[in-house]
Amino acid sequence: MAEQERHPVDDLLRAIAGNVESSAAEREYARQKLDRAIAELGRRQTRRRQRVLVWGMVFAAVFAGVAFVLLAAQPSQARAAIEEIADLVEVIDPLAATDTTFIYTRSSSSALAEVPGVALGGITIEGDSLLYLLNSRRETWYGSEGTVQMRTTYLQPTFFSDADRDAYFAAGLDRQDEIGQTRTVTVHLPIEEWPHDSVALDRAIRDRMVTDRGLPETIEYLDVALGIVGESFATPQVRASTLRLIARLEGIQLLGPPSETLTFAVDYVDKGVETRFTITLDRNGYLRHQRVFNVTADDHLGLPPATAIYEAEFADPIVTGSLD
Amino acid sequence: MISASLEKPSLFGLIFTRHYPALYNFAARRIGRDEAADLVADTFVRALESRATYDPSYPSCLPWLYGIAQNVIRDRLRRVGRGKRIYIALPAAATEEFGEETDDRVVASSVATDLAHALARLSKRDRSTLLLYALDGLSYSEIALVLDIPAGTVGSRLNRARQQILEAIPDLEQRTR
Repeated sequence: MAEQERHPVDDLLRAIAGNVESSAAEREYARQKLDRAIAELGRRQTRRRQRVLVWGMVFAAVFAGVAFVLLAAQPSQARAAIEEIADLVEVIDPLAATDTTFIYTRSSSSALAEVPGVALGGITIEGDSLLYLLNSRRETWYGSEGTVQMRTTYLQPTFFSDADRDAYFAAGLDRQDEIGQTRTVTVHLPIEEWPHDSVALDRAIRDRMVTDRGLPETIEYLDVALGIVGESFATPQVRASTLRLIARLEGIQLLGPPSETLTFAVDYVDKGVETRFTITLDRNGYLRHQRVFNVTADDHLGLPPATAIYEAEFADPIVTGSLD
Repeated sequence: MISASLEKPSLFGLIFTRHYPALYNFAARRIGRDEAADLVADTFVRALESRATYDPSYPSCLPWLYGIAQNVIRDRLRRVGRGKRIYIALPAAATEEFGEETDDRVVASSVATDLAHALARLSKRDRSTLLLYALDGLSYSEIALVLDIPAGTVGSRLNRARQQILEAIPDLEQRTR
């Protein structure tokens, strides 16, 4: 590293932050994860060379696309419905923590996990990788000064077959995934102020967008924006402005008739697979449900159409005085 | 080595061996020890997948890895519903780790909260610049690479960040003397 000038602010930062060293177990864990990715990459390179065009998949994708066009409402309806929620959000009383109370949120999620066969320690499986859905429950307590307690419990996975289940436990993946364990961490996360002005807010959201995942701009924008309107405790004005920005995004569709909740969808292609991202908001603008599923079969992973690769449900946020 | 790993991915393991300690330190200071190893693992996996974008003319790939780690942190905080918040590089336990001298620990404990608040009030860009310089020991040109900004901008951001912290804690020098 370069020779640096001294400054009291820098010195203080170094003194407080200190030097943090990894344990051998942590290092081994990280290394194994990289080794699995390297093994998978080698396999993908081989598969890419062998890939042939599957006309059935193309047909299914076109068919599914037509079906969704017929089922989904027009984008202008989606925009009107989201703007209606924004108008309501703007006038509701926001949740607030005090010195003795916390804003409590609870969510359950299920996410697709993939472990290459070579990383299973000699356990034989049918395909190249072992696939399963990793289920967890997360509870979060937000304090008024930015103190956040998060408690995550890892639940029994969901398997696609009995053979997958047997391989999973035989390889000891349940220990690695900490199934049945609950982890509680407390961190200090000062509340970030989002701008009220919609132009500045749009810029701030775009500043925080991830751009290196190969996903459409609408998906990356939603990833940030839903953080503000979803479980967030930003001011009603900021949440309403964010919803109005979401309403203007390309490709947002309203699914089904408006009720106590509204469900929107965005269709996109992820690594060649037609994918749908759905979001359900309640009338207070809080995120209640989120789902990502492949519309067409995923030939690479060997997943049938309509398999949810990520799904999460969010309970109503409440104010509580308890940290249990 | 990164270029060679394009054809032979297993060579990327050598990048891990060399830079894991620095990446772990970087991550632990920003999101805490509990999640640091997992974050570092994700950083190396993402770096492996995007290694074709690495510019081999740079003498070290560490700034490039820091840049990826920053994106992973941002992504992760957002996924767990913390997108509207920021994290600052002052783990609560750090005051017990930096030295034997009791006086230093006391000073750090008393001023840490003020410093945390002052850091939180900085713009994200200024804060990142200051942390990369002061904590991670990067040069101006390396910070420019991590943040994808002109090298000339680094100095002005660094000065502004320090100045704002000194304004927020006017007696900082006396309290740390």
